[in-house]
Amino acid sequence: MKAPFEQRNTYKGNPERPWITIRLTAPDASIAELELLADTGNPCAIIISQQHMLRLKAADAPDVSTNFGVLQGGWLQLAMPELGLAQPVLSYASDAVAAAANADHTDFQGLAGLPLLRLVEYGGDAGSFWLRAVGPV
Amino acid sequence: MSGADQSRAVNLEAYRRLKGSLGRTYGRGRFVAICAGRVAADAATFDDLRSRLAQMGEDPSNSLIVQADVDYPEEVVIFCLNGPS
Repeated sequence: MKAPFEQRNTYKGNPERPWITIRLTAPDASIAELELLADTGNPCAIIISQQHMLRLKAADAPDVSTNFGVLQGGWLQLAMPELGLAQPVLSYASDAVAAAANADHTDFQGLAGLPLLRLVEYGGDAGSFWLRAVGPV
Repeated sequence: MSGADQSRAVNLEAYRRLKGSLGRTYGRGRFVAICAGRVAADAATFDDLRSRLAQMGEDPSNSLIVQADVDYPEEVVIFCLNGPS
């Protein structure tokens, strides 16, 4: 039986952080790839900068108030069929959150939270954080 | 405030006003698009709704899309980071 696809990423940053790579389809059909700090305690699926949101959003969505201020809602289109992820996901834009993630490692362009992570299997060990497809894709 | 920001604010205000009735009117879980402060279209799926908006000459990227009767979070705390500087 073929093993499910796995995305495995060695922790990085200071302090070391778990992270994932996501791919999104923009309205012009181009594909954007972003590295996001993985935060299972974060109740927002994806938080990216306002500039990225403006370019990538498929539609607007309701805003949310947070300790970082108001985050603008937007629907982002996932393009990760190898993990079974090809649906719109409610996401948010915040330059303050994106900058805070970026302070841990310059590759990080935002946060990935539990509503995204729970769409697949996820986990970590001493050296890395991983995502796996749920069942065959 | 830019035109896009103003349009977004109008759509958010319309959503706050209408959200209690969207489920009764369109059915729970149905995708609903708000443009220029009014419901412009509804569909069973997100992709179908975006296609309908495009057919109507509306830019889906500047429409507010919600699912009827879904409670979106209004206030959350982000713990992972050290907080705003």
